[in-house]
Amino acid sequence: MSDSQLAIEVQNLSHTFKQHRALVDMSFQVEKGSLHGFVGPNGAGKTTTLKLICTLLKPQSGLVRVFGNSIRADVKAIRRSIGFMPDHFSMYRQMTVFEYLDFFGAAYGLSQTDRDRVITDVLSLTDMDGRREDLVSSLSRGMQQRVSLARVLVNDPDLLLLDEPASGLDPRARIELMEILQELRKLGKTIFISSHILSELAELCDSVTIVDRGTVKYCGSMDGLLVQGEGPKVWRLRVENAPADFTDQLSAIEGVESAEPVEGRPEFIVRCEDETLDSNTLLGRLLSLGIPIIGFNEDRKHLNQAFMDLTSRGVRT
Amino acid sequence: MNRGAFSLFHWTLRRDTRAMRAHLMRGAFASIMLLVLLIAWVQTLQVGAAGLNLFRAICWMNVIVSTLAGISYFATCVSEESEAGNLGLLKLAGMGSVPILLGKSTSRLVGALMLLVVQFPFTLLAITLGGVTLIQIVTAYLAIGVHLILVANLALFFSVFCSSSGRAAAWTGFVVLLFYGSRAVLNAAVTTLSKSMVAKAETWMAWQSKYSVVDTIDAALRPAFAGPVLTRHTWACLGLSIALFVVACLCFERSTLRQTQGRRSTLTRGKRSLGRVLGVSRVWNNALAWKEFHFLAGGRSMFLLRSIVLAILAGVIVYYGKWGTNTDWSLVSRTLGGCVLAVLGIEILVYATRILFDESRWGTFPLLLILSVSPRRLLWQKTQGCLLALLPGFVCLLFAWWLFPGDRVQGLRDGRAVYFGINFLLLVHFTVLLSLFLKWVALPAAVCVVFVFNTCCPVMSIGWVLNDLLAESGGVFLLLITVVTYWILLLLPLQVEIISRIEDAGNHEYGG
Repeated sequence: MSDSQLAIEVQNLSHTFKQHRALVDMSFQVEKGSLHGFVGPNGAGKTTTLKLICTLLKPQSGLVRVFGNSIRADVKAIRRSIGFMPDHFSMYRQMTVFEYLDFFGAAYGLSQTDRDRVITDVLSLTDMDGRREDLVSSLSRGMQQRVSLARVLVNDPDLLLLDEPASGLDPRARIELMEILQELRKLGKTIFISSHILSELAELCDSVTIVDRGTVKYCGSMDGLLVQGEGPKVWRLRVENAPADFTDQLSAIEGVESAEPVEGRPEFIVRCEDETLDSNTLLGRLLSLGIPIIGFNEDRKHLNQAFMDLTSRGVRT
Repeated sequence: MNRGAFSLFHWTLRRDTRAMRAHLMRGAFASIMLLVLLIAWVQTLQVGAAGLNLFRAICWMNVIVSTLAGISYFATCVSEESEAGNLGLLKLAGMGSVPILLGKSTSRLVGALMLLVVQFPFTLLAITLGGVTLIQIVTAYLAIGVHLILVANLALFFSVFCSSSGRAAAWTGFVVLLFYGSRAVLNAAVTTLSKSMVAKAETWMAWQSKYSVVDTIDAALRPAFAGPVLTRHTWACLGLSIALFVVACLCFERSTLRQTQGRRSTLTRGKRSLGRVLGVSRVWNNALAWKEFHFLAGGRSMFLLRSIVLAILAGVIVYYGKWGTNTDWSLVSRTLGGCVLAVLGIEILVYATRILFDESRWGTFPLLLILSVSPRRLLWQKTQGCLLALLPGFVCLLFAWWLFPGDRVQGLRDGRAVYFGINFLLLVHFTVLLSLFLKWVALPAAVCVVFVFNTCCPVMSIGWVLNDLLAESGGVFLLLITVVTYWILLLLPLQVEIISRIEDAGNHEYGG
């Protein structure tokens, strides 16, 4: 991947707090315009990495580039191009929603006319139009999270760094937040999101980095992470009124290594013995059995499983 | 009730015991005592009754520190829980107003009284040095103790009624200043008042002296003092403290419920025409200055209020001074200047305590640091907002200066004025710096640090020499050298340290 396609490039990044090694030789890349998940257990080094990327921490060793700018030399350029949302509520609670956004707009150097336009847009995007005159302190946690997101968007940054944006939100607020993020991706923003809510990340993100104890365990596409290991593919088949010997019928198909029913569901897991067997060929052979097929898809790992496989048990001390 | 109050008291006391800062504070206090003791020992070589001098120094420092600690430390008792949203949780845990107030305030009071206890062995040495008796020490300590209890309960009272810690501290400070400052103002202005006014002023001053900690200590430290240990001041302080505590308990539920409504007062909400004028304006291009002006210094409504109060003060002093009693302009000018300087000084110290602490408290430093504004510029823009709020005071000060007949530059050439000014700036700088670590106790801690600086820092001695020369020659050039010397040796390193601490503010919180 060429440098011009990268939003974030981290190479051999290490960071130590007194005796504690928070990051150890960490390397990963984030493509421009992607929605990248950054996942890891507590104490894995996620917040430290985020703070380094947004120039709040001074790097000790290694290289971090944001849109080609080094965090050592081009701090101002980086700060202009990013929007950072910390993991805790950092808000001026005595301001109204409008004042809060207006303040950050002015601090970023926007004129009053531009601020009016931008604030109207970001409030509309975050569905907070009706609450602009409310005090920040009077808003619920979900609402405050929306205002935080609106604040991040005020200076129209190309890269959004979001640290646990969905923590503490109820399911509805979480789903709505994810919808907003998808909208933002459509607008061409690069979104780097650190989160613990794996199910939503799996649906939302194009790519993911999994970290544990300060090191990168996986960095790549979400699809690549969720396939069931190397070698021939595994398929999940959902059928209606399967006969009693359906498992045997499936196992007898050419190119199928084994088949097994999923307990409690009208589903079967089909393992292929041939790597080159594509989905169309297999589906054709399955249809030839004459059983109505309701669903047919590649059996993928759940992100939770991938996460558990890659990370260690317990909390780093 | 007892169980709840005891749990909260136990928990806060345990937290205080485990906190390194609390022990460091006590250690620092004991060190200051040792320093004062050393000075007293040196004095024994020259003067008699060095014990009395030692004890007097300790007493005045205690009065200042306990007043400032009372204002800053106790004013956050309830408001900090309210700001953190924990009040509801405490109420859910079945705690009523009395257990919450008792639990929160008693532990802090014990912590503050521990600062007095830690000194007691050292003060007994004053008896050995001569000039002071045990009964004088006990009386003085009792006066300081009850004064601390009164200020603590006053701060607790305002902490219940105010939605923010800053507002509670400001109101407590205002009431304390009104009580003690009024005497100083009347004392200074007594010659400018008419006869009827003088009689009223003297009645007030006589009444105030009976209930003032300053006068009680002063009386206790007079030679041949034999008691009583329990004075009118002691009973008044205790009685008023209980009354304030009871009122705070009675109003707790209603007041804390109102604070959780999350609405700005109707006057400043911007719907009425007066509200539009006095409410929060649109953000200026200098956004940080706007924020400090409106949310630290009270905004346009406080600006207007300050202007009106200062104008009335100036009007009254000038009217009674010149047309009421025909006093000379010099005295009128000095009285007005002194009053305005006192008001300005307190305002500046309040802003110094909060200018960085508020950002630290709300965790907003990371948001400001990624604004692509340098920490130096950030601090300067914040300061601009505060300076704007102080404008009425500066204008009033200029007016007092303009009233002064004769050589108006003479006062600036006075070595003592320069020395006092530098010390004040030093106090402001230390307060700003310490507010990043010590929260609301930054101001009393800064007072102690400046006291130590004045006692043992060689730079201050250089300053004294320059001041003496300045007093003799009166040259502007020497004045400039003195100011620059102080700035380079004292203020500049502090400014660099403050900037560096702001830069590091994003690093403090260790994240996973």
